[in-house]
Amino acid sequence: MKKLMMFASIRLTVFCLFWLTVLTFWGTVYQVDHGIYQAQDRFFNSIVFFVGIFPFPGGMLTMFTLFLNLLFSFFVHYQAGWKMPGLMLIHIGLMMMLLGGFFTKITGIEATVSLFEGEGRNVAVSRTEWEISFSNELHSVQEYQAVDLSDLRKGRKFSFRDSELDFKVLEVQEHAKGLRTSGDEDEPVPANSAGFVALEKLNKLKTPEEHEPGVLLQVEGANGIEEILLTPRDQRPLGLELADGSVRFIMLRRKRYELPLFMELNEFSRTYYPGTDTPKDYRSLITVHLGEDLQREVIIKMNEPFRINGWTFFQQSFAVSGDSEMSVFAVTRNFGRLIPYWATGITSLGLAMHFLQMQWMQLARRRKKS
Amino acid sequence: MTVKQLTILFIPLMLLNACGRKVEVREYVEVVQLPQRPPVSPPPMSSTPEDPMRAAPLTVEPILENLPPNHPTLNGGQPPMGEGRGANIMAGRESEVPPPPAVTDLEWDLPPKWTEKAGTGMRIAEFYPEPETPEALVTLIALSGRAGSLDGNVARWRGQIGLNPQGETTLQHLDGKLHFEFLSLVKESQELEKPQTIIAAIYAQPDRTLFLKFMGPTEIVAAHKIDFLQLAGSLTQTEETP
Repeated sequence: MKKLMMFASIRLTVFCLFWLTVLTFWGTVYQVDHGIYQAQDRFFNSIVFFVGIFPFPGGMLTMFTLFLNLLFSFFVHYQAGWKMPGLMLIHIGLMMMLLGGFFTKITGIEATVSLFEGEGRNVAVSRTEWEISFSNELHSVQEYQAVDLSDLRKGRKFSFRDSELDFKVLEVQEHAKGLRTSGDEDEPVPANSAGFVALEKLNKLKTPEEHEPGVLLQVEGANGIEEILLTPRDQRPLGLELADGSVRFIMLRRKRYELPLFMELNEFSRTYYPGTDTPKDYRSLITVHLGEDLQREVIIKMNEPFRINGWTFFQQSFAVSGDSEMSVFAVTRNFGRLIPYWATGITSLGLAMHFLQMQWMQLARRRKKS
Repeated sequence: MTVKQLTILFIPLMLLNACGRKVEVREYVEVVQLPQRPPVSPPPMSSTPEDPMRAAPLTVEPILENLPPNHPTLNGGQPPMGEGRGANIMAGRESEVPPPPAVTDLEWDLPPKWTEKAGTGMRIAEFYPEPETPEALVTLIALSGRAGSLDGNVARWRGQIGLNPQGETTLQHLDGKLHFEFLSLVKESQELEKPQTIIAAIYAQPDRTLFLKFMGPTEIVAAHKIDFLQLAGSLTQTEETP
């Protein structure tokens, strides 16, 4: 227990705060050449990152350590109870802030929904993440099974329910180019609907939404072992035949998030500032279907998003093609959206209480002296 | 806190980071409703058509119960129109008489502002995205047997707009009310005054192949591509086969 108390060290607090400052500065400089997403991933979303062979603690580890430090400080230094209620509230507020950030990090979603007038969907599509989807058919109402590309590493295995197929990851690339010749004629040619036989790794881009990933899988089923190559440039989903002769379809595509509703765009309208191409206002009239008999009409417009059950739909942009207009919504899910507000409120209250308490104590001391 | 203690703390966390997560299989249902627009009725035929011969009501077959008693058709000893001689035959005008409209078991939603004409024979229907630009034409054709070969038709289309018929064409699988393969052929050349484009939706069916083809000037095809896809997505087969 005594050893655990080392986490309450004020030196650790200072080190963590100092290291967060370093990470912020390092990340800011790094993003100039590599973009904000890569900087976030490397410095803030990582537990440990390497520079050459040297490991450095990432933002996640630093903030987790700071959280432990605050927690232990809370119990070690303030065992006396409510003598210093302001300081206790400050600690609670800061811990809430860190926990809220972590909660948002692991549960948060950022995606888009694009709809033409008259079109409806119940899924949002990620801008940066990809999935391998697996289905029996390719209908407009279709049940899918999917694995996230970010979960795949070389050598990992997975399988889909009721498929009798076992998949093993042979290669996975975050950004790659499909090659039509592998250079090694002895290697087996993987099945691919675009004619690619291999992947060439490319450097990551500043804008990860432009990445084109690729994955080479080994599939083992009743018909033996074969290799398949999946890329975003595939012309159609790849059909895999099962022992009973039925076919399953597999494809690499942007990750889908199932929404708690079905949304249908009824009408999109826009206005511009007179004589300019600057949009003054654009808005979408959507019908939100929440259940079999539960639906309502909602207007989403600039700076007036629609919120429901932790999900927020922002009017992001639009596209026009001929007579058709497509409205694009940014979709976020953040169940901890209000935590920072609560945390800031509690911390502010703690600071105010501590300030007043100190003033009161100083006044009392002066009175005592006089 | 010493360096040794910090090292002891970091090592298990680094190992944890290296081990990573297990591959989790998610399940979800995706529902996609293609744009559905109210079907637009084809505009009424012009009262002053360019070809007066085609304005004649050649194919009107009387409905017997609608005719008054003693109507010549009923008691004049002549067979009613459409019987025996064929509905489209009028003396001296066989060469001018259009064949009967193609009978179809297909339905579709016509995009707004488009006009539609019934086709004949294998041509089930014609669609005009811009009636004033008849060279931008969408046709719906049903072919069976060897005539319905995908490769043969695509090669022919490539030739129609000046592309190498043997060149590579990529097909995109799309899912409307019926499954179809979508392709786009564009002849890009600065020498061409009006570059041509073909986009098409191909529906492979057990006994036939349906070709919905949009050919015309590139800028017109591009402007109506979404409408074309909506038309392609709305095409469906009625339950009753004629």
